[in-house]
Amino acid sequence: MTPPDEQRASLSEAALSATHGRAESSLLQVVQQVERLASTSARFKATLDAASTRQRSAVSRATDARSTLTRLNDALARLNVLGLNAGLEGARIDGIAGKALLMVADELRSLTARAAGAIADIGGTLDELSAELVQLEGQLGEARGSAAQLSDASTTAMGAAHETQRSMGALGDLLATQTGLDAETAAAIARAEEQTLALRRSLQALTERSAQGGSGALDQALSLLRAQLSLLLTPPER
Amino acid sequence: MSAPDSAARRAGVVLDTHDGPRFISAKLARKVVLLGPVTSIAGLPPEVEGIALAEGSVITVVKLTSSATQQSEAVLCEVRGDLLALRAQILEAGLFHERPRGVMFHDTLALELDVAALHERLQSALWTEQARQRARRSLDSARARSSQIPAPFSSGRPPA
Repeated sequence: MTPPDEQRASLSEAALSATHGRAESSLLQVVQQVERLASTSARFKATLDAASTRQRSAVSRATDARSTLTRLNDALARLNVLGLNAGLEGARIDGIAGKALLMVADELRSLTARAAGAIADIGGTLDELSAELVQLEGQLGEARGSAAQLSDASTTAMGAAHETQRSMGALGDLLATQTGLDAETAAAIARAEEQTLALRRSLQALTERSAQGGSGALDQALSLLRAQLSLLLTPPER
Repeated sequence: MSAPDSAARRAGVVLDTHDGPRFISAKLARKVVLLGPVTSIAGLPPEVEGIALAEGSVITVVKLTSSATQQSEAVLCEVRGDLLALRAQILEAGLFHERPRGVMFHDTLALELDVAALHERLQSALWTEQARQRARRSLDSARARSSQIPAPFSSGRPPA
């Protein structure tokens, strides 16, 4: 291999190493993002599980409240019967005592009716709340299913990303063995190549201007320099 | 009770029955009770819902309303020594202005419920049912006896 060929091969190897370095860096970012995603989805799933537990607890409390309302209704039914019997006894008894008992019975019946109305309202609200909780249970179930899928997918993606990272590392090692370049040197060579390309473009512009200006000696020197640069930047023939 | 105070008053209860509001006098209505579970019994008249435990006794429960009421309250009446629980929604208990054949409940005439006639009708139906069952049992036992009598010889010869 002639020295220019060696130079060109070295440049290609450096470009390959630099590309590998960039890919490895990007992959590292991907791995970090996937890890973050996995962590977030795990937290999301845990939050949803906690919400589901609370929802079940709320359903249980609503059932307890319904049972309490039933007991209250039983107590009210007994109070109502007490009021009716007081009215019946008050009607049987003549005089002031009878009238007083009738008044108490009337008041008792009135209060019982109001309490029954209030309990019916609470019962209606409790029914609506229970229906909402049942709906919430369904939605939470769907969300938990989605979170579980997301968690599974992110775990799979994380595994794949780690595997790719290992493969990329192995590829880097292989590349370093084959080219004899470490990552820093390869990056430096790649940067030098980019700067050379920029220099070539500048020289091209200068040549064009000098051709327009008619400076023959400068034009000749620039042409020579450009030819050497072209030789340096041309990929080796395989 | 919208009638003038000068009108005579009667003590009792007013029920919401399938025939409208009905009045039961306090002379018949002992008290209002909460019934336990009612056990239905086959062969009873249709208006008899069954029997239930109230005030520590087993009592015949008569349903006076056609609606499927969840009310467990009933008026306990004593008629000729028998206790009857009349089940319907109890609208009011106390004193009511007397009217011919009933009392005024708010602005409505609540006719007096003839509990004695109801009791008589039920008793009659029960006795009829008892008589029918007794006759059936007699018939069944007669059939059972007849099936135990050996059948006459069919071949004309006694068995060996």
